[in-house]
Amino acid sequence: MKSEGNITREAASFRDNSGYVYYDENGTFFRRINPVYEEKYRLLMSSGLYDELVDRHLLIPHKEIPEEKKLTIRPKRVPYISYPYEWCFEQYRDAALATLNIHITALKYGMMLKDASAYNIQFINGWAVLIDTLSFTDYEVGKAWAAYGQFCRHFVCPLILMSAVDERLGKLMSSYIDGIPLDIGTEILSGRGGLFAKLHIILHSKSVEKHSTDRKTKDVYIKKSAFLALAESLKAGIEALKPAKKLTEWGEYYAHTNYSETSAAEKSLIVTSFLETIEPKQVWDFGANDGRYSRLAAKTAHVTAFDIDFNAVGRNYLEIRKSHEPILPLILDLTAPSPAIGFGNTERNTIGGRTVRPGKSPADCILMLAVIHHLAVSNNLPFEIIAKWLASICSNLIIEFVPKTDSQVQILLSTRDDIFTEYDEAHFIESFGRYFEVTKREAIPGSERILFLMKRR
Amino acid sequence: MYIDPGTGSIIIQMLIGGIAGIGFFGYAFRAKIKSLFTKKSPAVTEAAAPAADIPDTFKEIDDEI
Repeated sequence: MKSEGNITREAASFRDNSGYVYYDENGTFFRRINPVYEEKYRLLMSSGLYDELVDRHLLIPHKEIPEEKKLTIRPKRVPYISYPYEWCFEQYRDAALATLNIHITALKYGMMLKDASAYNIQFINGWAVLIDTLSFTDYEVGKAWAAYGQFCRHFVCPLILMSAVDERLGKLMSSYIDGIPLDIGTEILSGRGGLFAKLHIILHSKSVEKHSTDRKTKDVYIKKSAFLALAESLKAGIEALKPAKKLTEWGEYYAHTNYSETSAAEKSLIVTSFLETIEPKQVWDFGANDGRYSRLAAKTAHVTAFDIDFNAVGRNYLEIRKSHEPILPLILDLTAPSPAIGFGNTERNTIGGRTVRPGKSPADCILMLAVIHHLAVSNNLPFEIIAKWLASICSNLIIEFVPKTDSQVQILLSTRDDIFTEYDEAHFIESFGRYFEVTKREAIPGSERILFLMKRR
Repeated sequence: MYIDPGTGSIIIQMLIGGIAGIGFFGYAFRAKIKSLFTKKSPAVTEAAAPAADIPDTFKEIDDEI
């Protein structure tokens, strides 16, 4: 991120000459609007489009900053920035539908979306929200939708792959910063996906290939009815998509845990008392499953609920889009967390690198319940390496130690040699103790497991 | 214009938009009839009100993170 005096320009904010995003020394975000875009911004605000979209929770609210010499707005803060390759199918579909609903609504006011990047959609308390206030332009009768190709690469292609082939294919988005190339989509689909895929992916891909060196598009005329019908048919097609759900290891997790209902209740009480001691504002829940413990923290904090399992994240999300609790469920494999991608590896960041909280850790508190054995045993990670990484991203840690005698650990050990001679509580405390100060230790009644509250040294 | 619309993408949307445009009024009419008889799926509904005990803070800009 480039510094200019006491402001820092957001590294990903360079594509559009309409304006750019920056933040000040307190980490407050602003959006500068360049003179070239001012007229369109005024139209967005005066036409009623802004009010309608904000009322429907589709566009980020903002206020103007009159103290600035140049036209500047301050948008509402997004609690945690997420990327399309971290969304479950249901989130991805809502992001696509939000984009189309915004585009179709804008047409009522004589405007439209000039781009359709999946990165412009963020989730706030279960709402899919457009965060780029400068995405609107005038609709001119006869012109094509310039963002259609981008919409297909960023939304249609990943959604059809996640629906017709495998939900995990959404992760392809992290390899292609401008969306999944349609020819790759065509190859993976190999005929699957029905008419919707045939039109927007396969035929579209062929057309792109055929006209790849062709620059003559001036004679194209698209009637307004056809322009609107394209958007409406995309919407209908996406609404009809269903996730390709498979039975996964974690799908019915709470039905197969080592906890009796009483132990689970005891665990909740201890976690709550730990949270009350540290009063975090930003909590990350690693291995959140369907968000059972995230909800304890969400009473007073924003929680990002990471899990590797699409079913669990999907279930959690469907709950949140009803309740609108301050929880953001995301897909994350802790053994290979989201990388930094884009030009100079600075556009889309790692899970810790994307937060802007001057003087604070990316997370005030990390919850890591019933996860340590998966990292230490299944992934052979020494406690030391786990502790060091956690200390780089949080200031407090609530972590559950699962001893070797626990049947869940025994299951993990049943298919491999027990080379884990240092997998015990003493070594756990010793390794974590180098990075954290152990402030509380509570055994969970009715189980062999132990909860720790730790403060980073 | 800061993104390249791509000639191929323009041509295909002319085609799809044209076909959908003809079929759209029929489609919209069928959808309307269908919606009278079926419950809206959760994917289609948007911006449901928050649960009663959770305040809707969406329009608050100054919230602390």
